[in-house]
Amino acid sequence: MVVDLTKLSDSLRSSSPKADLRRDLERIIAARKTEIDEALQTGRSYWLRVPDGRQIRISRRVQTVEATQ
Amino acid sequence: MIALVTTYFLIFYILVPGVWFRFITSWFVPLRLFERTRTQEATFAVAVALLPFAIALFGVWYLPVMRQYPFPIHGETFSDRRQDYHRVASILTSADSAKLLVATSPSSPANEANWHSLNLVLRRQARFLTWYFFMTACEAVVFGYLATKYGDWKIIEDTVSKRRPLLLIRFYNWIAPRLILPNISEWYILLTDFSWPRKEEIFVRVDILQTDGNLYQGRVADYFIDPIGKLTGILLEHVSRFDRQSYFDAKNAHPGKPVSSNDFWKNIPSRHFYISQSSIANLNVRFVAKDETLISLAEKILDEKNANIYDVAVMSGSDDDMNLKQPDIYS
Repeated sequence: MVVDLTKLSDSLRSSSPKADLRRDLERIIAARKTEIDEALQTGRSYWLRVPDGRQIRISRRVQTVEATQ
Repeated sequence: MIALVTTYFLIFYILVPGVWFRFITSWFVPLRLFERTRTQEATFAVAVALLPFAIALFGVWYLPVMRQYPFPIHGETFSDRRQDYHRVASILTSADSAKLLVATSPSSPANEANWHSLNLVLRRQARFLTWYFFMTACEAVVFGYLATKYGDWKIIEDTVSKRRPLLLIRFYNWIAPRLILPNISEWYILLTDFSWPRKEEIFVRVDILQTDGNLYQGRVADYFIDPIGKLTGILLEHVSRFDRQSYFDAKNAHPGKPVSSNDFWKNIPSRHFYISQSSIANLNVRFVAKDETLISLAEKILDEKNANIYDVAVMSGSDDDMNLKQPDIYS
């Protein structure tokens, strides 16, 4: 296999992993926002699979209140 | 005898530096390998050896330390050296070289002088080759170091306008596509974060469709290539497999109702999952931002009102919670 490595490398660098990830997350979260909020309201956490294969657990943030004396 | 000398020059002046250069460079980046003709191999070796040869030659002639060490010859002059090489050349080109070396009498002065010249020429050759190979190694180290810096020093067109890069970086960007990239393995560029700045901590994930229809997804831990540079296999970690049969069963059970494919990815409890090249039908490569980026982006997108109520965590395949949620295919 003979590949033009300059073109290959340039095409890789022209993409942006962060922008791709943001786009994927916006699409998935928009599609599942209602399910996520329902799960969180009932005290459960919600599992979401990102297209790159990683999984995230979404839960309600526990607010820590500092006790003042 | 001429054939012997030609072989000596071919091996020590062309082939060995080429192999030595490859060996040293492989400590930094794997070089591109493919089946070369003898002419291509020789051209590569000559191109690699040209600069170290010139420097070593200049050094052993003119530079103080390199002129003497290693294998020192005390009190030598240019004319002595020329005379020694003349003698050795006549021995090598003589029809009966044995006559010039073997003693005809117990102490033949002519033969003694020939042996002496031969000894000095060998010492000079050993000295030159030592410095020649050392310079080749230095060249390989520089090449390897520059290659590892490609991701950091590569100028991306849309960032040029923001800040003018240093002259050295601009020179690097001119030279890299001409000298460095063409010699690096294409699999190294494709399956590692070579093209990305180190600080971005990009890693590579692949979707692999096998010839039998199985689909795997995982993070590339390592890859293997054969002596001519063809991919032989990929080692994955955090692997999941798409349970296609269950997915189709679910779709058939509820026709018309959307079924999310996400629920049919099953985790495989292995950090060393090897897939051979022969079973790969196609490969989808993704360059993935680090987990911290994923968490911050997800929190930002979820929390439109900035109410700070969402907590996001990335789960790895070894997490117990995740394995309970999506049991692996073998359990």
